[in-house]
Amino acid sequence: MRRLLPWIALLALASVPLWLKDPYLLNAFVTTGIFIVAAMSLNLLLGYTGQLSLGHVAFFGIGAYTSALVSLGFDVELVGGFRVIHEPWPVWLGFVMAILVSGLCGYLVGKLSFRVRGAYFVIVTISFAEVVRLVALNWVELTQGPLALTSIPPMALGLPGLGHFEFFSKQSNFYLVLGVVAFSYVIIGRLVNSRIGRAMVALKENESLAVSVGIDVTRYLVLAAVVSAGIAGAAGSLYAHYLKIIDPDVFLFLYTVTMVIMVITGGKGTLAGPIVGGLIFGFIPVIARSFAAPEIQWILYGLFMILIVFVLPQGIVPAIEKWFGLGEEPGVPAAADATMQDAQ
Amino acid sequence: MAPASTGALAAAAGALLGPVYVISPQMGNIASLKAFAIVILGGLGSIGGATIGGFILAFAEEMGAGYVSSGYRDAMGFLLIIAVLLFKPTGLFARSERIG
Repeated sequence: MRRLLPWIALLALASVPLWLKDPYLLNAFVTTGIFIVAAMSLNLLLGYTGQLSLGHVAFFGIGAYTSALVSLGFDVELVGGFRVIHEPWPVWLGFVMAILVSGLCGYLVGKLSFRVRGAYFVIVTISFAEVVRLVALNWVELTQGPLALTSIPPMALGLPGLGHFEFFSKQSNFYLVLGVVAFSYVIIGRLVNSRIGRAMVALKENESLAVSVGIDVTRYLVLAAVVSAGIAGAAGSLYAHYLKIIDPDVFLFLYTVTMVIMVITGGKGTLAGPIVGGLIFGFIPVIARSFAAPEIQWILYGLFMILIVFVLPQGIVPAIEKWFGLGEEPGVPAAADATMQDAQ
Repeated sequence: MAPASTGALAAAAGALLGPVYVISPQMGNIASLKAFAIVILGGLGSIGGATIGGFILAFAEEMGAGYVSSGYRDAMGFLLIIAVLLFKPTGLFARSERIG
């Protein structure tokens, strides 16, 4: 039963464009899906290693800008008259570059800041996000600043011999985002159920014990940061090519908060948590909008969030698992034990 | 008692900021970020550190705004914080303590 659940959810979601014809709701599904990918990447850091990145939107925004700039091309004059001209590349290469550049930024931030952890890591990530936002706002030659990057081409896939496909319609974007969500789910699932994932959980639970059995703390934390940043970059790239316009507001702190809400309410440290939390908090504003005034809409959002955190402090997914006794998720202490045994 | 006195101090800072800056519902966002940053900079749990940290941050921002670019005013402060945390993770004036 437990093994079948993700497939049932995937099939149910894949059928959505077949019966849902309302473009506004489809649009809500696509943007929610993009934020679910970002929330899943945050969950890898927050849920499995216990490090809170409050600047996660930086990786999202870097992915969006990289992907947009690679596929639009740019012409920038750096210090000393050195000029960089970039011809437009195919859009799928922009997507790949977004993942690589975001992953690299994750590596740098992780490498620099995992010597300090806890509150210090939080402040380094916030500072990083703020610096990146100011660069996007002020480097007008490259990013157009507040004028925004416009007419970004839609995501396109060209296979030799099979022709060229552009993800222009909402339906095709829906399946693209669903595919990326499923792919990220599999990658994160494989990672956290491996030796590496057990080492990460062990670090979160008891760092000194983990170190004493020979787990290289910094290495695993940096690895988690790289994978997490890369997935966030992929989400940013999808966002840029779906909206076709991005401005420095993609770096707003609000988006980080949205991701954190999705992860915490859904259940941090569970694979399905960000998806459940994301669907709920992506759709509360949309549903509330149909019957409530704009002010009430966000008050409802806040009330619902407080209610969930108050009633289900562990998050929705762990609570459901407990009620229905759906197969035993390898408990955290058990996973930590397994790592200890591995290491011995 | 502790929340009451921090609230009172923050209110005093706000009252002093009001006549100098514009007042808006969002004015607290950047101020609380900077307050957090200054405390980290000076060292957690050090009153003198927070005072000196405030001077250093403000000075770095204004120099950055004057000599580099006014658009990067806030970025200077954040870059300074990252730099301090890299070389002295406990902050500049913290009593020696174990972190992490």
